[in-house]
Amino acid sequence: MVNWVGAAFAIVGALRKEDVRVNPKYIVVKPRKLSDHNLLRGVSGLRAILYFIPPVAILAPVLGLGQMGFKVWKRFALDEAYDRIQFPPMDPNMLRLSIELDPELSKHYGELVKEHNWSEEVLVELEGIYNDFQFLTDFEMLRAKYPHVDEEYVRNKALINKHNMQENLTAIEQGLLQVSHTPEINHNIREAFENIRELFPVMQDWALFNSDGFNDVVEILDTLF
Amino acid sequence: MRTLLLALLFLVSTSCATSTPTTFMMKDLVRLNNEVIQLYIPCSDGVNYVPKQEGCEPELLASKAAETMDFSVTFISADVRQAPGYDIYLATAMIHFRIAQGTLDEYTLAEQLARQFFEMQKAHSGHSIDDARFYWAWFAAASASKQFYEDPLSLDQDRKADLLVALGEGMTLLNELEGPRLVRLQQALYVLRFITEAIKTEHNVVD
Repeated sequence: MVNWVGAAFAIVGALRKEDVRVNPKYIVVKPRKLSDHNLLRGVSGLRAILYFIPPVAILAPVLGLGQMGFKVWKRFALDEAYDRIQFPPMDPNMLRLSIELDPELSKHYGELVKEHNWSEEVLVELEGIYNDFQFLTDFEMLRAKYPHVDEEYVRNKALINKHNMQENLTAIEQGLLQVSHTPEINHNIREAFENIRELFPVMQDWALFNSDGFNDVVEILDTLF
Repeated sequence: MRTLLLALLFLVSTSCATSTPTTFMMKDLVRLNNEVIQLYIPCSDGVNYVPKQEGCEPELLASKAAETMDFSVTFISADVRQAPGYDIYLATAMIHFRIAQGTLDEYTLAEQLARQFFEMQKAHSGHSIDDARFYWAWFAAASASKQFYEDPLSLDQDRKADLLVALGEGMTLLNELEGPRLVRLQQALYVLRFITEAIKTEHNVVD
């Protein structure tokens, strides 16, 4: 049962501007779009909402946020139940076949899936690559990780994955609105999700992901909330 | 007194041998499922399985997964209509196949149980019908992929007919699922489409 009275106070409190300041010296790398204010406002709104929602109710769309979004979300949620959620594991034979069937991936990794090369090490390596192309949403990040893969292919994958991620955020939002009973809470949920929509693609920025700055930001968030 | 004792012994022995799932069985099933999840978490990095990660015990995870699958089969055989046995077996089988490279027989059994789960849910208008559809599409694709590499001659016309039904059921889920399950379903449907199209009509073998 969702405690919406408590949620309303928590959301309003969490979204207050003066509560969300971070000492800039701790943020090493920061994308332009991601101001302290926007980041922390979105995160605190999210944290406030999640506190009152049974994790299982929004499990599928949360998992759909992709690797980085999922990790960040877990840190925000700080709920034991979130440690239990998992992505459906990949099947090794389907992975092999899927790479063989994909002309672009096959061009670069086709040799690895041949019988004489197939091993647990290859499986682990290709699983990471395949899942990146299934879940990562940021074109620059994918491009930086796979500069040898065709640019249009990478752009297309990032677009599809980003569309899926935004659909998942919409599903979470709709799920929350369905159990909300007052216009004020509806407004707060919508406002929080506007911030979150901006937040997640930016959090998958390659520079931020691949630097100490990302961990610093997350650590600061942990101590603040 | 002796008659009463014998009657009691008979009652105890028959209740132990009953084929109906008991509360204890359900508790054991859930406990085993939780143990598998707890062992799997340190081995996963978001969406990827990383056996060399700190805290991961692949051998223990593999044996616990096998134990859970065995117990789930017992649970299912005690009452073929109850969903938890199928759900836990099939979710654990996904982990098992990822970490232990299952045999073709194991894949075949998983697909059969997934189909049985679907047929039971369909026949009884069960609440887990979407889960059952997902598992059937997934394990049909996984099993057919295994056949593709290890026993392509078994991909004949009968097999094609089965796979097409699984494909059709999976396609009805496209607007129902979200998150990583949707991504995995799309992958399974892609594989099923390829394999069913590749099975030649005249020779009963894949291209």
